[in-house]
Amino acid sequence: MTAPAVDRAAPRSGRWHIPITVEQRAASRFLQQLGVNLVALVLAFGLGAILLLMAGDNPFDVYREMFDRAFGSSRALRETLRSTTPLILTGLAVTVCFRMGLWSIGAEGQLIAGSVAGAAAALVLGPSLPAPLAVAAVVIAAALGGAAWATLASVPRALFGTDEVVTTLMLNFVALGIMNYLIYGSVSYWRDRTNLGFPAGKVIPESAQLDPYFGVFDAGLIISLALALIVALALRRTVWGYQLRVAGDSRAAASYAGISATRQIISVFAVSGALAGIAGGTFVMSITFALEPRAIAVNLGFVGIVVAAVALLKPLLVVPIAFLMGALLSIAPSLSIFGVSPAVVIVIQGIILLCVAGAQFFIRYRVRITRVEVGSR
Amino acid sequence: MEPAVRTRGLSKDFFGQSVLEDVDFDLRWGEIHALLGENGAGKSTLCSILAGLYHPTRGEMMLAGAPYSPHSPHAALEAGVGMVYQHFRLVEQMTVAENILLGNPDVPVRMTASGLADRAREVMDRHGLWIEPTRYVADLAVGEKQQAEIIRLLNRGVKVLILDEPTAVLTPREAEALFATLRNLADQGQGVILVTHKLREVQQSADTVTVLRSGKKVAHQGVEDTTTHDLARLMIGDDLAPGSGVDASHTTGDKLLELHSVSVVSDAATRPELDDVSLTVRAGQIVGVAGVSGNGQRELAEVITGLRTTTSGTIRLRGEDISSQTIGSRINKGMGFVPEDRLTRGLVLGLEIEDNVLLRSQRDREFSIGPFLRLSAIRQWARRLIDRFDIRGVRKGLPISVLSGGNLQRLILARELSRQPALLVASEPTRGLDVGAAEAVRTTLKTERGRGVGILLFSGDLEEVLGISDEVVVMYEGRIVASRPASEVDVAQVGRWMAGVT
Repeated sequence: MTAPAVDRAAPRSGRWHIPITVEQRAASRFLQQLGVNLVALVLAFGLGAILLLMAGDNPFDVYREMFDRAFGSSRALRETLRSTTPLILTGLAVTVCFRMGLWSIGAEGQLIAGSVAGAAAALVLGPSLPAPLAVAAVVIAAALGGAAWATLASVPRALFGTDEVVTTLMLNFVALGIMNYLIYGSVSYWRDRTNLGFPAGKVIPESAQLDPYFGVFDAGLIISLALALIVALALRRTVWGYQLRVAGDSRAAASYAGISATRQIISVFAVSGALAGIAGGTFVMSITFALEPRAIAVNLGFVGIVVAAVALLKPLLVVPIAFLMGALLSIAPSLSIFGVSPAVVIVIQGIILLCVAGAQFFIRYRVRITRVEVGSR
Repeated sequence: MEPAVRTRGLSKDFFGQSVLEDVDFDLRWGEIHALLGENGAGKSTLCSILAGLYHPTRGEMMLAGAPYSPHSPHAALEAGVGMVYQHFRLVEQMTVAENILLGNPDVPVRMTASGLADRAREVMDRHGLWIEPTRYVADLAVGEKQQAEIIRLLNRGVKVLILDEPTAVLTPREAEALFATLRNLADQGQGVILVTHKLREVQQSADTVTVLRSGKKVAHQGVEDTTTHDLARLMIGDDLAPGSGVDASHTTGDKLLELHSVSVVSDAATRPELDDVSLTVRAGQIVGVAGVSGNGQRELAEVITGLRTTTSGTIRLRGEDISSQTIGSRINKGMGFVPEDRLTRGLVLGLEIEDNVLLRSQRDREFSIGPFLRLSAIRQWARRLIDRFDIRGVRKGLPISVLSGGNLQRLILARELSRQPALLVASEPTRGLDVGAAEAVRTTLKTERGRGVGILLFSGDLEEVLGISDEVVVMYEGRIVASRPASEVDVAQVGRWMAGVT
């Protein structure tokens, strides 16, 4: 006898009530979704403008400058897309785990593990392989590195129920410590030995460096877009994805359906770790060209959590959100040089994300103004 | 005198589907008014509108002669209409007194425990009800929690009390106590609306009955002027399912499921969950397990289906020892299972119908090739089950949580039966269903038996167990205390076994 609990009255305010009804939409069309998101962006920039005016800046100038620095030139667009690639991948990594109710916050550490493994593959195999094979080798090594790092947390989780939030978080610091040690603390294979007075990573061979096509985007972006598509299809169209969705909704139903929790947890973590690891591998191939701890550990794994959450754990939605987030990240440092307070830029970024996240509510629900009969009280 | 509640032309649409249509409903002061109907007939919707949870799409309501349109449950409560839900709105970690006075604007912010208890006692005395106010709600029996909920509403000055299937969670004795309470309240002048689909309860406790069918009012009359048979006809319509007794020619076949001395001991300090249980289910046979709930039935079903492991003993399916096999391989060997917790275990409420019909068949060749799902085959299969088992309310793109309870139950049965199991373990397959739907389920079970399926039926409804089983097994404290052909036992005897009398 459970009727859908989607029709609820709005709370009262004072002695009056707000005549609004919220109803779940049966289905939302693409254009509707696009429209709602555009309205959200306009609203965000409107609110941001008020803030900028209060801070004494001309909002039009600031917005034009922001736009120019994110998309205005091929160089700006390249920077934006370079930030987008790893965010798509870490966003996907988080999405996969969260969809099963595994609260992994280890994408950061898995990305680092992927960078270390990817850089190793580039340094060892790069010189002897042609470009496409060298890139493939780095991607595979990075995926394995990330997956292995995730497995350190997943096996205790699957076998003994160890809290994955704690283990994945702590492993992030362990990964960072190891990477720092490899470059700053030792004369390791990854370190540039030509100048030991100045610690830096050894530059990977050119066959493993990604050149931007048309000066704008490189193979890393193509790989990440392909993976977004693959993750989306895997969730919807494979037995593995089905079992993940069932386990994410009800563990009791999953065991009833004969789904092995142990196996599913380990495989989901491995896939998640591999995606984050590839983020590290592509980062090395297209941005740092070496194992550079200071450039690699810039919270891309943590921002991935924000991307996944705003994208409502939908793999295809991760792509535009990562793009938006990538643009915001790439303009932040240059804008503060332009004279706008960095704090204001951060607040505007927050407002934009908040509005986009809030917009998703209006995509799933319809809000109607309802008539109030006279004498209703 | 103005009626307590009057509705005229009340209608409600969900997603463009009408669930309540032009309902005129009248409740007088001082009467117990039963609202009768099948699952999905609109009873809960009507009550939810009265209680301010939903807004009507059309129509008007009057409360004590004044226009009434509550915009929230809180507003309804202030106007004097309160609802006791199936899932209680109580804080388990608080005492009865705290729960009763919670949210009451007259209670001072700071008040001692004894002061609270005194206030609560006052309220209870006024209405002739009693639960020790210093007890914690978590320690109360279900019936007592329900009483606490009623007292809480009365304390808020509720004049119209709505109870949504209040006896679903009660033992027969608790139900009698509840009816006595309600009669007492009605005598004090309260209007009481009792939602139910049990005909016996209407006859037993109500003054007036309104029957709903498919969202429309089909009758409104005094209980003395009607019979159970009339009500059943009004509720279900004229297509009343034929009674039992259609199982004349079936033969039982080979041994399908055999349990030998199966025990489950999870804690050595307490008595074992299952103690030396042996039983056999043959092909084409229904074995009914009777027993007061909590005497090992759940554990037995779980150990057979693989959700729980045996401590000792063996379980054989078609002669093969499956005691230590995984759930998945038991599914592959033809074991169907309708679990007791249908909402948390039997279904995935957050997913769509296709995902739910696929549950337990995801590795089946018919629905997947290697790692890939055959989406179109699954979609077709879902459509066929919807048609064949008359599952209503499915909306494309929406999770199955929008379906009514009866339809969810049909969905599980549809899925488990259509997989053509060799053995079906069915736990409480008719619980919560209305008369017509329950009879349809029993008929389906009998049909499956005719096809040679072996069925192990767990049911708290003794008449059901005796009515359709070939063999009856009685459980008491984790043991099987009696096992007889159904034709050789009667209700009274089984009742004694269930109570532990041998």
